[in-house]
Amino acid sequence: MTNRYMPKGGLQAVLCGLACTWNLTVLAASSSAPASAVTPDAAAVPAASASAPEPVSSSAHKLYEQARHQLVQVRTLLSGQGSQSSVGSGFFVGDGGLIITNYHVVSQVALQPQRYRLTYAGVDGRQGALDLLAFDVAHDLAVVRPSDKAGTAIAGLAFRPRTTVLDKGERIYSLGNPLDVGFAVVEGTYNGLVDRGFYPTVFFSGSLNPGMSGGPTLDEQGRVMGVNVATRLDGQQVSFLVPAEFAEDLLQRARKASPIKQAVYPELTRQLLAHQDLLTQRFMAQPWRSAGHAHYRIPVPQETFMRCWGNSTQPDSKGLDYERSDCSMNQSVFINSSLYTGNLSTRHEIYDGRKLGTLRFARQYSRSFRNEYFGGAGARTAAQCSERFIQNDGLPLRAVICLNAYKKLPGLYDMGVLVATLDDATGGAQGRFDAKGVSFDNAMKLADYYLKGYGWIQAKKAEAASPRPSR
Amino acid sequence: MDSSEEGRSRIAAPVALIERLDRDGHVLQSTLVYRWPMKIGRSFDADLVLDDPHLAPQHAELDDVDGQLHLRIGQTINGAVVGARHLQAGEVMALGVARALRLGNTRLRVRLASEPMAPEQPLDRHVTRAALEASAPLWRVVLPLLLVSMLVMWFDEWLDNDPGTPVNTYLSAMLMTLSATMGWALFWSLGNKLFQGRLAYMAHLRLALIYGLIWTALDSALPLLAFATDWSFLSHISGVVGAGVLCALVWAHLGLILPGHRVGVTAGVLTMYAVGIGLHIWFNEQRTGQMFTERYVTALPPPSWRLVDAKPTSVLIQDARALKDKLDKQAKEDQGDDAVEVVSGGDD
Repeated sequence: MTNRYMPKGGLQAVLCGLACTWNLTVLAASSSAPASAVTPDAAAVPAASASAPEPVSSSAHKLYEQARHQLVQVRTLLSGQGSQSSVGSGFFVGDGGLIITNYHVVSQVALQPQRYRLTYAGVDGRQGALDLLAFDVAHDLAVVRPSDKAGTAIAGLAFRPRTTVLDKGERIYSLGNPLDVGFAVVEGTYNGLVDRGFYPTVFFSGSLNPGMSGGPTLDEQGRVMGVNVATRLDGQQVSFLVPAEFAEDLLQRARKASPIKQAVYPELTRQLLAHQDLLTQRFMAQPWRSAGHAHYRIPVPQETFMRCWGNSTQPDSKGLDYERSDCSMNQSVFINSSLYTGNLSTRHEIYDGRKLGTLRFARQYSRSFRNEYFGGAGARTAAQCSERFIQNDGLPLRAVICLNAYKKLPGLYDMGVLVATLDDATGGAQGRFDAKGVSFDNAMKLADYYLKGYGWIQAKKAEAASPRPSR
Repeated sequence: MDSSEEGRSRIAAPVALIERLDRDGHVLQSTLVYRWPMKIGRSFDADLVLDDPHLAPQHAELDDVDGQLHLRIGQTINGAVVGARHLQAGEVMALGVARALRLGNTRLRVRLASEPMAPEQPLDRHVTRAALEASAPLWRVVLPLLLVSMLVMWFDEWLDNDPGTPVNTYLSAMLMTLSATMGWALFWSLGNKLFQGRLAYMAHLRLALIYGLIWTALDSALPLLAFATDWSFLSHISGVVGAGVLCALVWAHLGLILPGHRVGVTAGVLTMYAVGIGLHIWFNEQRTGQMFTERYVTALPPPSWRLVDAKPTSVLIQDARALKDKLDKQAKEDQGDDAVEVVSGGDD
């Protein structure tokens, strides 16, 4: 029976929505052992350790008592048989009987309203159907309302005023229904905003579990300061909240909205187009960083909202030496459990094949160039590619641009660029740039921007015309 | 093939030839007939003694009656089969043009000296060639081919491995390819044995080595040419060309096994290739909107092998812009088929 509530691989990805691109190895390992992410007494540890000076649990008790009437579990049911397909949390807020939750909690209903329906269950056993009113896919938020408007009598939770800033280390309290086990309050600390995020995200040191998504996180005064959204599966108590201000903004928009009965693809597309515009604009406003190569200019993104990891071969290798750098955003936009989009990533590898000689190097350099994949199954069309020899200030490159179109999100594309330098018979650099869920124009702009990031470094420009001296 | 003409005068001209055939129609024994009647049976009194336990001592007699050959069945329980007729003991039948008869379990064919001979049939040249090849000392060709192939394999392994890789790595890889090639040749040799009665192993091994070298050459040259000329088509078709070489090899093996059926074999292999490639391309078109599986040229040989000029980045961007219409069309077509739908369960 418990197995039903154990997260499956796909849904761990949901929960790690913010963190999926972070540390793939660890994430993959934890997805085969989901129990590690949901150890039943994980939440008890900080509470016990923090209980020494002050009986903080009384605070949690008080807050839970205050908020329990506003707290609901949001269930997605299969339309026909009515068994639950996924569960999350939500809360009444303000005075209009509206419930805030995560977009990813209601995504099945938003995308396939004919197959799924939403219901809620309160702490006191109240139940009823829900209508989807509005959503903000970029911040992973949604507003729903009981179909019979039963909640209008309930005084919803209040938002913490935007102007009052929390300090690092302040206690905050997350509410929700983890793993469908029962409603719970989890204590933790506010730790500011996540570093290098594209959208502001609160770093909450507390144990969020699947099923708590969409629940409120309250300050000591019981005001909503964030919405539970994700947790890292490769760490402990590294959880994330959407700042309350975005929920407040969405709530304003939702007040006059009428229930959504059709699949939300047109609105989804509109929001994703706005997101990619902002992303492209902010990305292209930053100059490329240097990769630190002696001869080549290789485009490496600034780490304002991207993070780069590097590795290289062991120093005693007998074959090809390489240095690799992977840069990616730690946020993607959740569309459904198998589709994340709206993010950028780059990668480059610098090869030194002097120990291999020309022919052996060519073989391995080719193999690395071949070992690339341009998706195409499912939500996107197969890739279409263009390829050419191009040059930037004299540096010859082999470049491939591949594009996939989104089938249900017209006007959005995935774009991948492959580059290999072609000036040296025993060395070179290869790079890849990916932009997921961008407009065609932005895809072209980004490809151009990336390709022009390659060239000779200034000092070497002069000797570019003549063959390079042996390194 | 032995003739049983002992004790007969060589002065008289033979009037007929009787051949005993095996189950495949090959001649086991032939006997010249100098005079009629001709007694056939298991008894030593017979003119043609056949040691078939299903024959009677005096099983049958062939005789010339007024210029026409007759078969008379003796005291036998099994009788004879001529054409579609089963003759019982004591029956007589004029043989006419039907000259194939079965007495007991023995097949006989009779040819009369008096009837006009059919003109000489031209022999299929492939039959002659196959016969020549079967007796030629092929090791003189196969041995150098084997050496060249091993060199090519070694070079390919060498390219794949880092400096300092132990020799046994090369050896084991080469042995693997080599035994696969030899196994392949053996497979076709067995076919040869089945249809031609001899293995002709060297001839089949020679084919496998030659076509293997052709395949290797094309498979490496096409991507390199594609790189040199920036004509990516050359690289994309290398798979289809490779399949063509494989089909040609099968065709050549079949040619040795069935030298008399060259036209049928050619038509069969061509059809197989055309249908296979057609299905492959059709499947790719359906799945990816492109004829070939390869998305881009992956070969990156030494830079000096490039023969064409590098263009400004804007030219590539222009190329890529042209993909939009095709992608949009494909997205629209695909949209009906499937969607972004994934049914997942559990907690969020």
